[in-house]
Amino acid sequence: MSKEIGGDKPEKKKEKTAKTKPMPLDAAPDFTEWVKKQPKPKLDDKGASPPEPPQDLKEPREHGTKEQQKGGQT
Amino acid sequence: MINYLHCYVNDRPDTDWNTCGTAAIATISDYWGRNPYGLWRREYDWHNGRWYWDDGEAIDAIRNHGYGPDVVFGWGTTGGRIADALRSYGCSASVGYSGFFSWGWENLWSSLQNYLYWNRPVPVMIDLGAIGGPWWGVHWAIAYKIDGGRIYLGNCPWNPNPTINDFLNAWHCWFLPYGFNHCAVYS
Repeated sequence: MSKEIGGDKPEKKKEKTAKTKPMPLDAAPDFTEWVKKQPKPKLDDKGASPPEPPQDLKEPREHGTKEQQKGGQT
Repeated sequence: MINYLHCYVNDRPDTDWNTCGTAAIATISDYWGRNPYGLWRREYDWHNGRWYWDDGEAIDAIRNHGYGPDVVFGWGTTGGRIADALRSYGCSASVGYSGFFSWGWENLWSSLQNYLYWNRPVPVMIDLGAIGGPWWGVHWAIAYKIDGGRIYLGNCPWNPNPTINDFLNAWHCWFLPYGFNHCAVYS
């Protein structure tokens, strides 16, 4: 794994903003058609539940690195 | 408790209107220490002084390897697609959603709280209109903390810490079909 020291920290950038495209049901007939074609739940459909989480992470993981890093790490 | 979570953001105009699920895959895989596509860490996060992948590069890499949006017409990403991606990176992942007439939503809410308690961030599918964003805007945000009657959501600039009641309304996504209500991916 190779590293590249970035020197001074980069200038603070503007916060990024997620993009989305609303899907109004009456304005998106394709979407409405798709919704209609989806399987309808039956009376006994109970959805899906996840397993209990492993209780092994008392402290949050700290991802990211302290230095700039080139690719290749897997 | 996770006080701050670096979340990847789908922010490129015209390109990223439907890649919030792909960004969620990037966030969770990075959180669990996976870098399956050998991405550089070239973006500096001033919040915590650490380096991360470029958001667009991460999204493109994930999409180019077959884990991009999978809802018809590219409208978005299913929980199953997110879970498949995470499993392919060696993470455990399972999708939760409520049943007929929201059956089981209370248990899903308990599960979500439990995962966050154990410092496991959870992608959640929400209706942005219920938390002050655009109506009919369905979005994958990353739940990472519950504190003071609020839930903290990454990659959710419209309302990063809605009240729990507002969040539960948003999580319902009542206008979406079975399999998309109270939907989340647990890893």
